[in-house]
Amino acid sequence: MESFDPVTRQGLDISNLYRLELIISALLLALVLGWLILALVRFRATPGDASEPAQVRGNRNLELTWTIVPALTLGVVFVLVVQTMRSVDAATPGATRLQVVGHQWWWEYQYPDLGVVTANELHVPVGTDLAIDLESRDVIHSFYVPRFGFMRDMVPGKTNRMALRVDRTGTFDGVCTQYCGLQHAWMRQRIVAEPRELFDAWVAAQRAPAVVTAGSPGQQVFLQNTCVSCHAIRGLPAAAQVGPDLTHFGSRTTLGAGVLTNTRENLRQWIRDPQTIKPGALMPAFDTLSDQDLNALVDFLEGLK
Amino acid sequence: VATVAAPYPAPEVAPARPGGLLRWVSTVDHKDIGILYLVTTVAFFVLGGFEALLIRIQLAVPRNTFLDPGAYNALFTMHGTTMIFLVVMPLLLGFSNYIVPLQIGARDMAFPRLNALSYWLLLFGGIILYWGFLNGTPPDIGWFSYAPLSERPFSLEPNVDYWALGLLVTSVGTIATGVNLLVTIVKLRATGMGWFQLPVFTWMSLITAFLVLAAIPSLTAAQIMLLFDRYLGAHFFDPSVGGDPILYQHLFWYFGHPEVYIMALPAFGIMSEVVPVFSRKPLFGYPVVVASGIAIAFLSLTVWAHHMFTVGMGQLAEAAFGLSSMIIAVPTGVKVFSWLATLWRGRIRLSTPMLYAAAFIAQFTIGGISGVHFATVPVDWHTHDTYYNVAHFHYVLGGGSLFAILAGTYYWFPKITGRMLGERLGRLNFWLMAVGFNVTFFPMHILGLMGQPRRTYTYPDLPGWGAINFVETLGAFLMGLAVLVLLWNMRQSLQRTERAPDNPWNAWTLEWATSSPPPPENFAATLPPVTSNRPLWDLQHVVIPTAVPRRGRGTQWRAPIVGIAAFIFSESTFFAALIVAFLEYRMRGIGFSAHDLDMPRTFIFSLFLFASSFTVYQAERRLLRDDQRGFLTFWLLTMLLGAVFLTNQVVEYARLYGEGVTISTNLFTTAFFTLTGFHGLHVLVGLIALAVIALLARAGDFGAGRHRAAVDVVSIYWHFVDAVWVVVFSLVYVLGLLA
Repeated sequence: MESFDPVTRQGLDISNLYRLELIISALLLALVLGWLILALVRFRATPGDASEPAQVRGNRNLELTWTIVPALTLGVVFVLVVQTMRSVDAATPGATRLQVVGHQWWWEYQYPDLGVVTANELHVPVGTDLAIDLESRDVIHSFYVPRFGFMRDMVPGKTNRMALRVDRTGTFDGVCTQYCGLQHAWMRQRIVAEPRELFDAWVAAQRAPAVVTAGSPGQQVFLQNTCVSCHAIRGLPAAAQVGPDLTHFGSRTTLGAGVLTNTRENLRQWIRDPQTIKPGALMPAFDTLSDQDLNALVDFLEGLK
Repeated sequence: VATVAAPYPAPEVAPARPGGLLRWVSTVDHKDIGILYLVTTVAFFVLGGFEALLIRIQLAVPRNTFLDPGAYNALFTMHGTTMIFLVVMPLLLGFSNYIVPLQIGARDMAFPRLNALSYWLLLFGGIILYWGFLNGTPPDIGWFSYAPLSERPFSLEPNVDYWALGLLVTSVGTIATGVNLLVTIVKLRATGMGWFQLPVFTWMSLITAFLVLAAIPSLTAAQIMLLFDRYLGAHFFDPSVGGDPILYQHLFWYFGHPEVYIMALPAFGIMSEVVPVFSRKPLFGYPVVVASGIAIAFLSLTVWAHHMFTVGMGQLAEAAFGLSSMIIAVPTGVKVFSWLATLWRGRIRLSTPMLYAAAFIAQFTIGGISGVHFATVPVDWHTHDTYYNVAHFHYVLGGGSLFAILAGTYYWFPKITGRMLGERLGRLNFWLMAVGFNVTFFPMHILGLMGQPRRTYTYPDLPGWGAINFVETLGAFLMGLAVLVLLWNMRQSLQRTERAPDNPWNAWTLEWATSSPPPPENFAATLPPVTSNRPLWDLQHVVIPTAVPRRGRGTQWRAPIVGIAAFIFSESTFFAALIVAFLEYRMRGIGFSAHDLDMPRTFIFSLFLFASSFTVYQAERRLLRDDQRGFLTFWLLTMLLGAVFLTNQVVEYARLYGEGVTISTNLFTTAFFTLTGFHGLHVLVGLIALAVIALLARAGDFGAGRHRAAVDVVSIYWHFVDAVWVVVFSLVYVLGLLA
């Protein structure tokens, strides 16, 4: 289970606390269930026995015990809780800054110091401390990657902070955990944690403007339609920030914040009829494009590596 | 006020009852109203359960297309809202309504007509809530309706309005029930029934009534602010001009967490009746069980922000609310241990009520333990709003409250209908329900730990997710089957000719000392003497002293005075919510601020209002001396002073409006107009009440202490309105200048 196998420093602290709580919980539950079952079995009335049992009204020592022992146990747990909170929230000086912005229903990521802007699929370097700023442009969302081990909300008008260090490589899926409207279900994200060299290479590729061939037919379709009212592609006269940045769209593995894998055929369907695939998504249907234009557009977008 | 005893008329009891439909529409008998509550809430339970089955069909397999996302979102919103506001809470209040007057040996609730009003507000509030389906725009923003998702422009259709307006209506009824139950239990107990002789279910109903009054007005205030934002252009929760969506969460959960205990405490009460009776032993540690209930009530008002550990409140607040939430586990655990100790060395009869009670202990413990996990802040960060959360609250409210309700249903059904429920069908019902419940909800813990978020209409085909979800859906259908068995069992029982005995379970509280069902006046014969919390046990086993101590009247205050005090308590929560919003926003407005208000002028007119407290006091004194002319003079003077104050407020509003200053100008005016406006509305209501009394007085209807209760109630309310203005004026006009 994801809970017991976190890949971040912070998640490990939380997972350890949770394991301890589970052990205490299991002992308590065993006590209650054992007591309950034993009582029901041992003290079940035999049919026809109309006698009344001894009328015990209470026992002060017992009552004190089951008040004080749980209270003390919780007191110890509380100390560990505060320790874990401090450890999870401890900011590291010189951490790499990352900004995550929630939108209905997709994720925007920026490394402001590295000049990287991307969407729905994020690369992070392992073993590096990140200082994440969480924001929202519309309603409340919540940034959660189960293997990271903890979440934090993205509240409009407010910046929440999250310290994070991913310690293992891999691809980890994430979700939005605050109900944010019609397509809350398909506000998923994918995080690729990779060694420093690979991450640096990814950053270099992301920083570069889109590799475009002037006058390619797909590029013309993109620029002449209303695509540019919402989407940005650096290197082209397209700078709108309503929808996801598409500068390196072809390098992502999913479409529509996780609803489809990023293949040519899926992209064709998505452009033609996003409302069937993800009803309510803010992307309109481009069902008037000719097959030729659509193919050219798909070629162009998938070529944006 | 009102320290001299004057006779108030006893609570009215309906005379001869009309038959048929008219009986049910016109009834003010607490037993009829209790039955109306129970029938209505069972109907809503079937509806809410049907919604849950649709949800489970959609989630049975990954990427299912059985429901579109809009329908799914409406169904989970309505399922939660229905089960909380139209099922568990009113079902338990319905039991209280029926059982509490019987348990304390009263003829009826303290205010029978108010009681009927409460029920009808529940029904019509429920209809308003469901009207959204007929209109094609059902509420679809979750049962807590977080801003700004619930605000324009994110919810342009009237979906949210059905939610807010429907619940505003039911909430008024619930507060009235809270007042009614509280006064009933404080004032109408049988001779000999002091606080330590009170049955535990009645105790828990009393504590619940207190929580209703303390908590529900905070929801009302939040919903009014939300509606003002949506329709008047106010900015309470609008981040684009600095409004604070987190304020909504604070106001909502200040209501929302006590609400959990409003739905749990009466369930604890049912448990504390059923477990002793079916173990043939008194409740183990009665004083501790009662004290832990009181502790839970007060603590529950301090834990609300544990629902908000992920919103970024800061470590100090998170640690503090974490601590208070962990502490509340202690008195809750005490109750579980007390029930277990009651079972120990008993003669346990495993009849259906006891089966449900035993399952309650196991399931509620699981829900309580996962509750502690959510109280420990970092674990909450890990599991918040995943299916772990869904598992947790269903174990508390389903495996806990609902199972206690079912225990209570089998326990009290013979008393209410005069027919026993079938034991064979009862056991079938129980096992289907218990297996179905655990198969549905236990795997949700695992899905949560795997990272499935709640409130998603579908999910990708990740390893294990489809299989676990499918099993949960099967469990849900077992529960559906269990409900059908229960309804069939009820139908069979009601058709049976064999009548239930007065005391089929050989139980010990007063509701079993009358016929099943009880006569209209509740007790045909004289009540048995009450010297402990088990009067019927004492009747069989204990030599009762001939002189029963005259306990049972807790206060010198008469019922209407206790009632208005309880109402004022709930009004205080409402104003406190508005004041919190004002304090947060008073410095945040851009442009118009407190400095632009005409403080000296308002101060002068405030003196008129303050003076009216003096004149209403003088009026009361004259009435005590039976000086009706003097009374009327001072009473009319009070009205004049109040009217002068209110006129000035209207003039002030008109001047501001003329200058273009409205509720939507900025955050300051949003909070200013809402706070002072609601105070003005209370002055207006007070003036109307004063006018009604004045008309009665003019008609010469005040001889020999008549209407004393009304005069007392109106004057106390008027003092409250003045007192609120002292606070509002100081905060709005004076503090604003200092800052």
